[in-house]
Amino acid sequence: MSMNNETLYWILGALSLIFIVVRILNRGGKIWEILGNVNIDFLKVRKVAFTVSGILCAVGLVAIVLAFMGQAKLGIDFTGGISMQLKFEQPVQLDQVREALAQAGFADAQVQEIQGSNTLFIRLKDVSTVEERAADTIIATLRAALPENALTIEETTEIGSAIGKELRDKAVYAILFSTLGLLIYIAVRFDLKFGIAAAIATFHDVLVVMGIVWLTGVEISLLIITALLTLAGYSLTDTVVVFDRIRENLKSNRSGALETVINISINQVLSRTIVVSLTTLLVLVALYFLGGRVLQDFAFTLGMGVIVGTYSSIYVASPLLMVWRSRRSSRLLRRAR
Amino acid sequence: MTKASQYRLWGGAAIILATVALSIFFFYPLNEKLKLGLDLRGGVMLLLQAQISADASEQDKGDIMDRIVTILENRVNELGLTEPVITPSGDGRVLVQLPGTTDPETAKSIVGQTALLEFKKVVRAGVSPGEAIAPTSPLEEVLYDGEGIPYLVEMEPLLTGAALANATAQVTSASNLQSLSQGRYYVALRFNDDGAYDFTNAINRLNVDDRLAIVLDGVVQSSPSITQGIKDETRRGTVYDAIIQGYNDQEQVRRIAIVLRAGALPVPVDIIQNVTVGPSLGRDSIEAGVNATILAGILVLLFMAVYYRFSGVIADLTVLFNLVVLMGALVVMNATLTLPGIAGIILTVGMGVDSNVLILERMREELKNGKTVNASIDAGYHRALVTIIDSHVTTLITAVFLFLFGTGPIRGFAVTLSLGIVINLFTVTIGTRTAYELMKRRRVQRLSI
Repeated sequence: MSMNNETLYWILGALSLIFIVVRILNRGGKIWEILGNVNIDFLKVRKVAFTVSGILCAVGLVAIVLAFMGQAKLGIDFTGGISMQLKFEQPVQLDQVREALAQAGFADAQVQEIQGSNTLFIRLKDVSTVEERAADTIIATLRAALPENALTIEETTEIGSAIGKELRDKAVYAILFSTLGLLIYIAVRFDLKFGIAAAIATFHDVLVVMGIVWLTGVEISLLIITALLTLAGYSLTDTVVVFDRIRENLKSNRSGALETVINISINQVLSRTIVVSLTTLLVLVALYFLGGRVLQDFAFTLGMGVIVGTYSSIYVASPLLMVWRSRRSSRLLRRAR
Repeated sequence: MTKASQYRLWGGAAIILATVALSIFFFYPLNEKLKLGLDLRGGVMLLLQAQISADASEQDKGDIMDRIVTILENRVNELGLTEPVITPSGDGRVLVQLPGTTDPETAKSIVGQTALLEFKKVVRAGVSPGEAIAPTSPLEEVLYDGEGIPYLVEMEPLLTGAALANATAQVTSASNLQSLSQGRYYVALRFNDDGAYDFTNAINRLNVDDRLAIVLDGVVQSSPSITQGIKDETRRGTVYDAIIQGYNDQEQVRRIAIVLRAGALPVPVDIIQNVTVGPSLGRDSIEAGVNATILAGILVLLFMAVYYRFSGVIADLTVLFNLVVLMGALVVMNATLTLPGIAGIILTVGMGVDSNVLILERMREELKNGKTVNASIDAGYHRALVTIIDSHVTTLITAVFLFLFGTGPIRGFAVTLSLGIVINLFTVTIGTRTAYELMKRRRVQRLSI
């Protein structure tokens, strides 16, 4: 990561300069008012938004079904297998490595080179048990095939297939239970319809990002599941902020039409939504470029989540409240009819 | 200024100072106090599954797991590593963490071996690998040596590893044991009193030219013949020493001696997961993670100060306060920091910023509606707090389920995230609050926001 230090200073320097310029321009505190006085009719486009969301969710559903059928790109966390990162002293010929591995019976092994570092990333899926010592065999094979090129093991991970299945089940449980927990909490704090709307919006975000992950070919590992759960929490925060405001406005403004109240509420919290999304994205961009290989996919998934989550809290969660406006049972929504 | 707000101000200030001082006291110096995970410092992690039979009682299972942990600790301690951690992790599993080693092969053979040593009487020994030998009675079985040569042996062992007092790796020298035909290395066994008595009896029962198979985990290691010399020796007194000979690999002999000294595991274990991280990769990832955190942190703090001006600086201080307390809490809870853990910390910082943005945006709104500075501060703070609590509780719910169902890396993430959320609630209610009480006291006419 030596080159990154230099990049870091450059980025820091440039951004500080921009900030200082903005700071001087912002002397009167006028910049924020651009955002502060908006009045956009978000609900007008809700049919378009629902259609777009429906399509994106369908893509996500396909991705999940494929993942369970074993068709999607699952990480060895879930399939069981081996991944290893090996550093060589001199440049290596990938063909030579692949051939040596194929001769040793590892024709399925995926071999990738990490750009410009003489480092190989080797992955082998569906190895039945760790006991078979495939990792040791691979290393011995490579040492024998490339005797003059010394290698050091930077990382190996071996996961038995039984534990892979277990990890997958646990990940599914974690998603289901946390969604249920969130639904109950919001149902208690607001009412059931807010809870259902928030849960749908949260599921929407997870599905859409799952679809994006699948389409972009990011491998679904435990860390990606972590990112999905985090973004569920994040998007829920966004939704809760809007709902809180809707609830507050419903209480103080009993006569206004629900549509107006919702629109006003979204506009009122819009600057917060934008500021928080931007700062979070700022953090994730830094993680993406500087966090190393492990955190890169994580930052990407979470970044997508922030964008989708911001969209859904405005265009999905709140408009969903409108769907029920004519029904009677809602304690909060009835008032504003 | 009311009395209540006076209390709030000085009480808050005292709590902040005390927490910061305490946190720094706990985590200073950070690089010594905070435990780093294997992914950050390099090392080997093995997850073992003990093959306990399904009908064993809970009590038995517990005993077996305790013994496995103790024996593995003894074995691992002999490797001379710093801070090995061996913990049972439920369902008959044991998690072995060996920081600082980068040799998964040795680790696996030391930890994964049952190390059941048996001395068995050889009924018939094969000569070449692959030779077919069948048991002639149900009391006999066929075992093989490392080259695949079969041995027909009596099933009932004459002696097991329980007879050992010590085992050491040795190398032959000219003066030492000329009888070693192949291999320069051997394991010297020393029996305990009972073991020596049993061993002497066993030798007495065997005839000259009978062979004794020394079996480790079902593989014949060597099969010495009983000589007249050995018989004579047992007649003179109890025999305390024996050797397993014929090794060419010094490392292998060392490992065998280690596992024999520590004793056999009560049941065999399977290695179901192995994660090895080289020290250089660990260093790289910590550097990358820290770089990212610092850069992201500076960017966000700068943004806050520019966008919210002096109020943004107060928000920045709150976020730093949050970070300091989080570090202290991690050290106090003896938590291990992993790379996903760093991601959790970054998200916590994000949530801290979010809380402050919520408050500040609300204050701006109240100011715009024509309220006085002090009234705006109060209204902004209190109205935003409702939202902050809601959003924190929902995230906490996610984090708790992540912790319950997560494994390894996910748990590390869940720990720092949930700790961060709780601490954030604390810093927002105490830290931010106190800062604004201070501002109200100064009765500013225009809020720098």
